[in-house]
Amino acid sequence: MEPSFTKYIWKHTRRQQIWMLCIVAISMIPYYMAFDLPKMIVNGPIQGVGFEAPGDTQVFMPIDIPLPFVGSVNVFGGMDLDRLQTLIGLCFAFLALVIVNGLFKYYLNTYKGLMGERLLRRVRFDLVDRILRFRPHHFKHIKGGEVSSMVKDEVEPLGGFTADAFVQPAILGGQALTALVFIFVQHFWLGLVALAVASLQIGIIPRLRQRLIVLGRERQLGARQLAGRVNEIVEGINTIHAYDTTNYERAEIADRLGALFKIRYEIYQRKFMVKFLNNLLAQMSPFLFYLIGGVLTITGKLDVGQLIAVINAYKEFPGPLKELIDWDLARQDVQVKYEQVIEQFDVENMIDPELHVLHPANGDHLESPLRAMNLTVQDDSGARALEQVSLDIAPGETVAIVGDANSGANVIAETMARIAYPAAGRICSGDKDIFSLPEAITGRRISYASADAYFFAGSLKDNLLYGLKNAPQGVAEYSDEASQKRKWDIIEAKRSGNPDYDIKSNWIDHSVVAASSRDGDILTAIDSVIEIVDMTRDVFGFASQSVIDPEKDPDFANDIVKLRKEFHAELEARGRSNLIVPFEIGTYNSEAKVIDNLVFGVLKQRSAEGLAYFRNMLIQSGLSEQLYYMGRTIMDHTLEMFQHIPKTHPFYERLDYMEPHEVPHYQAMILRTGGIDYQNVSDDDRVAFIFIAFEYIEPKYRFGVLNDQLKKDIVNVRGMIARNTPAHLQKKVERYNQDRFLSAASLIDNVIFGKVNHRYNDAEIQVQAIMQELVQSKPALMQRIFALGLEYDLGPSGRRLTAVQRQKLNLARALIRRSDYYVFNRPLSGLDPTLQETIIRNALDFIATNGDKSAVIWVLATSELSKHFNRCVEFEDKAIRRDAKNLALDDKVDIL
Amino acid sequence: MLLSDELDLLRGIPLFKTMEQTKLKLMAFASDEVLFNAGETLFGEGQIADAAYVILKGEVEVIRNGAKVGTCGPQNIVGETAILTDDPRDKTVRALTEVETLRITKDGFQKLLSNCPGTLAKILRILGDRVAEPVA
Repeated sequence: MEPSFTKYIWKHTRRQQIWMLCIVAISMIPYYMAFDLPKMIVNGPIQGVGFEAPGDTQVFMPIDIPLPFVGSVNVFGGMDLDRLQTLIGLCFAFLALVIVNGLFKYYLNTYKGLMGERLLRRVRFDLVDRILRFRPHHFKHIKGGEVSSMVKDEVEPLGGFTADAFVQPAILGGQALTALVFIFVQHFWLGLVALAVASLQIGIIPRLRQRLIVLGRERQLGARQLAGRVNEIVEGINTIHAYDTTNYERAEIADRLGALFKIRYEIYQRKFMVKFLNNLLAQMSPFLFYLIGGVLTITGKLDVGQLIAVINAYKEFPGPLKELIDWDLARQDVQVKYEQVIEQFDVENMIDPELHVLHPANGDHLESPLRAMNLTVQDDSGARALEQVSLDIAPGETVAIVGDANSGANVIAETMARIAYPAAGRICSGDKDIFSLPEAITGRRISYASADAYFFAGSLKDNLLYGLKNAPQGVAEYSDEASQKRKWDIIEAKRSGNPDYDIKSNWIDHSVVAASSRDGDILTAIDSVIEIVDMTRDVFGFASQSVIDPEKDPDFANDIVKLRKEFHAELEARGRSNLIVPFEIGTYNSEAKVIDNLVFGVLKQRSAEGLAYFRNMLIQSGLSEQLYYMGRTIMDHTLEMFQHIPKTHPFYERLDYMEPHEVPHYQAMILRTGGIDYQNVSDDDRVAFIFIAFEYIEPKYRFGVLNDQLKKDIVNVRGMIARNTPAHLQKKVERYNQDRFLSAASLIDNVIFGKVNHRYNDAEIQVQAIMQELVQSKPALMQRIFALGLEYDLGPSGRRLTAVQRQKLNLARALIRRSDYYVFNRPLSGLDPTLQETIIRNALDFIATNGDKSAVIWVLATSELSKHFNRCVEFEDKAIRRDAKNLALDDKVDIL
Repeated sequence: MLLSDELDLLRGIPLFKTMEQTKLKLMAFASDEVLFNAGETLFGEGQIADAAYVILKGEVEVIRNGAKVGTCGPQNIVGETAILTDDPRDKTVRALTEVETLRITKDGFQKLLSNCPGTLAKILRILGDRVAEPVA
């Protein structure tokens, strides 16, 4: 990037800067005229110069244009006005000048803002563009948090300065010079005084500010590192908790903040000291003017009007001068900031922009074979990671690469995926080096998946189809209004040097969808790859945990209610009714909490009135006393077990009714209420124990405090509540109703309509499996549910997926695109061997039938699974140890 | 089964004999009661081991390398090596009747023991003896 920020600005905003300079030059005319007017008003109509006799008139506003060599040309002769008329005329002229000056300022400021924002957009884009062109190994040396802080915060002031880079010194310099010239014209010696003070300011202040620049640089670096560290904490939070290093991190952050504080405090001290000096010098001049100017006026060498004009002009003089000094400081400051940022982005050996040029869908294939020739790769420390490896991969070949973590097996895969760059040797497709081929070919025709997968925030579907978004497919259609906006977007993007690719276009290239050769349907492709990586059940699970709005999609909700009935019938038919404890109006649901059994529905809105009503019902029915004693016994048991274990113990998570810090509170409560009967216990304690009883689930806690009679009583009270609650309170509860969709519950809860009996081994999985089988027999509904599951939000970096799900999805993401070569670098390392084998077999079958004669290179930890490949290359000690055809499989292929 | 009954049963198991009453109760509390139908496997050979099972009711068979090597009934614990080591399962255990078990997870057990090192030592010794036996 351009090393000097001023040059960078000039290069990209030259025309606008010149335009602005012209405007500024024009604006100087009214600006200068506004100086002269007060003198004319005071000397003329007010003091009466030229109006000595009553009835005297003066020519108002003659326009003479002085031309060189020609002399003055009179354009407008002016009007004859008397004293009062002249005063009014001059005052209105002054008002007009004020307005004109204001308008000039308005226009210039808006224009400056526009220019600054465009340049900021350009700088930011340039930086991100550079990140996209860094070579992969460079990312081992940079912190994401620091880089994002640079792109977001550190360049922010650059935009603000852009507009000021040339125009500000022109305006301020012009203003200061105008004022100075004006003072000189009025009086030479007063001019000299102003000049002397100004020289002092210009000479001293910038020197004092040198240290401020150094401090500013340190502050920038410190703040950037802080951003990096905070990001690191977020990324590494599990490690921090695992090793109990939260306090180490606290100390580290506090130390950094301390250092930053020190820098910032020093900046304040110096900044205000400089400000003080600057102000002092500026304000010393009026003192000199009053003194010297006063003496000159008294001695008659200067008239009063002149003195007022000089003082007026001088008022305008220190302002621009001070701002000019500020501008110079800002210039140095942004230059430093710019240098500090671009130094991080000026990396050697960046990827050639030519390789990233946008190519629409192209039918280009990689030429075969893919050939590694004398490939040597070094790791970061400079040690050999791969040594003189040569390997040919023919189209249609399936190659297992076997070797442990140090064998080099994974390095060859990384090099083929262009993640690692060779130190010597080449990888060629045909006779072309793949590192010099455009990514539009290599990135599309080689699909890569490794063990550590990254996912972007968004839905599962977005991530699964991510690899198909190489270029916009066609132009998005817009309504009239939107298309105007789009046109504006394009123009602005171009003005800021950004590309105008439309993110709203369809980016998914259907021609490269793996299964499209069969029926061209992307949903079928998704279905197939999800099935291959054994994620159908997961997607189904995601869907089942989703909450839908029945009003938006009543048909879907109705289908779910229908499914509910069929599901219960299916369980019955399979003899597995015991997996679910259904919600039945006349029965206690043993897997549900006491409170759920009482309310028998979902509370949609809390209200004081509702609570009071509910409480009354409990008291009237006598249930509250029973629940009180129940809660007390529960707490007795709980304290016995938990009073001596540390607060942070994970067993606390099993308790729905007590937090670790509440142990002493409940101990005191038990002591307080011991030996006192229900009637005499305080209301607060009573309520507290009843609330504990509300959370109780017998099979989960097994304290034996819920007998059959109590269950019967609870069901009775449930009935009473249902019957007697006034209508307006009824609305606040969505009661369980066999025939209605429960809007507050997830999809699966709506189908199950009861509680899963967790006592049965893998009950939840079994329930899901049975439901899935049932749904599979209804393709339309299945598709709807599957689509809902695909909308599952993966969270930032896909953190809502488990490690196994991540690996599966990562493989699916590669499989869904058609490629000439699939490079899989231990993509399933987190899965158990049986499942790995199944997925490998399915994936190989899937790729074999895509009709592209694709080759597969699959890095495996052990040779056991290599039997599914028609060639096995064993790596040991950074080199190939054995390269053998799998004869058994070849034979089989031949027979087939 | 109630927590108190489970506790009585656990106390009869040598592995837990030395554990304090409240610790044992806590362990039972932190464990889930899991039911298996006849024919269902509690765990299979080669699987990643995450929990031990105390048989509360019913009977299970133990299979190693495809051959049945024994059966276990109530007051027996199966898969206990799992809760102290990272080895995969070395046997398959299948329910012969409907079986009620208490699933003690590796994570929970280890976290419990981290608070009582004395018990840990005793348990390790007992475990060492038990590993030597042919049928666990």
